[in-house]
Amino acid sequence: MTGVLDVIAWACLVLGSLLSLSAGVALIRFPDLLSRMHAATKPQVLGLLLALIGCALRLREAVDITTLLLVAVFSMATAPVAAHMIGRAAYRAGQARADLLVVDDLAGADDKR
Amino acid sequence: MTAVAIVVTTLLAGGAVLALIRIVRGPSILDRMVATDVLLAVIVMSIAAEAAFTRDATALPVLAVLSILGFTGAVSVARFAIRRPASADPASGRDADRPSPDYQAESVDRPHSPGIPEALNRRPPEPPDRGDSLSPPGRDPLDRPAEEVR
Repeated sequence: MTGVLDVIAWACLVLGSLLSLSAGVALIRFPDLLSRMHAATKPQVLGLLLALIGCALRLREAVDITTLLLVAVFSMATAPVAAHMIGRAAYRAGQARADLLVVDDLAGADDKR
Repeated sequence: MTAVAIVVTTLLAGGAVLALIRIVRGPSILDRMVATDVLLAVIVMSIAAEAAFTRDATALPVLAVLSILGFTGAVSVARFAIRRPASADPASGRDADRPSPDYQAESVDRPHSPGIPEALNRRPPEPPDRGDSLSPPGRDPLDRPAEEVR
């Protein structure tokens, strides 16, 4: 039983770190800030959750799992806010490439403040 | 288990190095902020992996602190990186990072200052930011004059 849990934990950790490497590659290769933000969410949400699940499967203590749950809740709560503000600042600073956008819902907006 | 640790360490280090390259290359402060968020996520994941491999829960409170504090940096940078709109009111648009009221009045009031023809006074349009090459000097928002960066 413990061997199975360890194998699952290792698989989660390897998958999570694979996501972080893919996000690093995408940060280098993607052309503009919004697509880089799309790539950056992968280790921030799924990769982090996989790493925390792997850590919880290895530690198996109620106190540690509670702390890891707290970390997951904090990350899930704060990452969308930060991404929203960065994306809004990028659009208003003119750093979103219009030729790469499929739909630009803010194109005719008068209030850009 | 050691092989898994080596694989995880290599992948996380690769992601961290690539995020660092993006932090160095920029070209804008927001690109650097996105890459910094990725770097922070990689650091959190590596601390979690270290706790998993050693079965030692000492570093877990650090994870809670990092997951809260990483968000404040991104929000504050995004708040102050927005370029000032052209119709900003100079009277209400005072910023703490302005050097002096004189400099602020001169820079903000430039479109309305008398004596300068409108054609000379207009700023040339900036080329679209491709964002994929090394930033030429002066293109970084931190290097721009103060009225463009907020």
